Amino acid sequence: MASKIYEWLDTRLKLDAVGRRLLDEPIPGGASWIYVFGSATLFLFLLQAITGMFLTLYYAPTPDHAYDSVQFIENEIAFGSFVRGLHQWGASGMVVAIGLHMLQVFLYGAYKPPRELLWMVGVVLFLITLGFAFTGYLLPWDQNAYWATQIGINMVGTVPVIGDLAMRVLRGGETLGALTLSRFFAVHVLFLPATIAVLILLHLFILRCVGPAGPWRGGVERRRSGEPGASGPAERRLRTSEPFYPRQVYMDAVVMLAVFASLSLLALTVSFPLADKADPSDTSFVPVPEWYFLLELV
Amino acid sequence: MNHPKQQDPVTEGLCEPSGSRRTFFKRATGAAVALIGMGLAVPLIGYLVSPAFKRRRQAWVEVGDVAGLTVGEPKQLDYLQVVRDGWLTTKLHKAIWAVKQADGQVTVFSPLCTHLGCSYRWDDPDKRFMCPCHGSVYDAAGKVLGGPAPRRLDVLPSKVENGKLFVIYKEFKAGLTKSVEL
Repeated sequence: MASKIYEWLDTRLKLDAVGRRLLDEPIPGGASWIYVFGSATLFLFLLQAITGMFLTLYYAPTPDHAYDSVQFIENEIAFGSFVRGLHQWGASGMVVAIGLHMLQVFLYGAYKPPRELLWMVGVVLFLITLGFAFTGYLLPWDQNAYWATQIGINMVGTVPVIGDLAMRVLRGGETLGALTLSRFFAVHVLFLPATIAVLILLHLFILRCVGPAGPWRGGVERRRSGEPGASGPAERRLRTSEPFYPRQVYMDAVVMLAVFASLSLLALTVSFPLADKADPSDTSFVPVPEWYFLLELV
Repeated sequence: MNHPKQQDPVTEGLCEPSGSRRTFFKRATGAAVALIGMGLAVPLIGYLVSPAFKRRRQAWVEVGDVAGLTVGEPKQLDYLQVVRDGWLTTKLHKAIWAVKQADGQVTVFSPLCTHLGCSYRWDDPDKRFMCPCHGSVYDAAGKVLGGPAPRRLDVLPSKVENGKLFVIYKEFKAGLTKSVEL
């Protein structure tokens, strides 16, 4: 049955050709475990998207109900704390994966011509990811969320000239309140996802245009094989290359499974209890930002 | 997908894997994807459907001490029920009529007149319930004494435990000769 449907589709859409096109990207120097971080990041993004969609089933983005709705997910919905745990650990995991991905690209010189655009789009993707982290942190509306966001927005306020305006725009007014929560929610679940989806496609499109950079020592050989502008087809002529499928796909899949297993384990064993409900009048609370924002404080 | 085996001797070791190695990579990839898929699908489906299996339990609500009631003298008691609607908690506030019988049992009446749902009151000098809207009259046992009321006062489920009176609040359709729960 399934093969008949596939056949029917294939005769019309030429799926075999499309599949080969997608999977036969040559990898100079062959598949390697060092190339898995991009796929791991993509996997984590998809995991965030899926768990995020499910979290919105029960979440209510208003100061009156946000905290209670997250408590409801945590305590009364089957697998609620697991789904929320996956989303929270996945956020940290994604920052780690991006860090490793950028480190690999940097060490291997894979940002050099003709791949500068790939790097630039990648940097924007990283900043959008931090935007996700910042906007998502407010949503549970507990003391930590409220005060950490208060501080983050105040930091924006210290920017010369436009700081004050930027702060008002972020808050949606004078104070951190209902308008802030609903705009952070909208940005977190609609604006940023739409933007990041387009940029991820652009990132992958550019990757296919310029081709993967290959191993450390490939440099001389690559340069000999043609000018940078002609490097795509030139690299395809590289004799020491291997198609993306099946070995690199296998490595990527194994790493994705390992990432998923680790996140599941963390989500099951380390819970994220909420602090008390956000209280704007409490002056004694000391908030802690997520670890990946700690550098900003230095 | 079938790929022709590359012949170039230079690419040996780097060339596309074939035969049983290729099968292994394919199967391992499929297994990893299947494991992730299952690991996600089971909790997510459970998460999605779990509220559908929760029934709202109508719980007994304590309305006061039986000792505070006098035999044959109806008393209006506060009925305060906390209703959970997902993450929302609302309070249902009603007043109910409790009458202690000679045998110690307590009868609890719905506070709405069976004619059109007005709130009635106890007329102590005349020892009867009076509805101010259209003049229905009931005795302390809920029996109709006069007016347009089509049936006796509706009785709410109640029980006495350790001297405390417990009630479940319900509403009934007005204007019918039979008591029909809404």
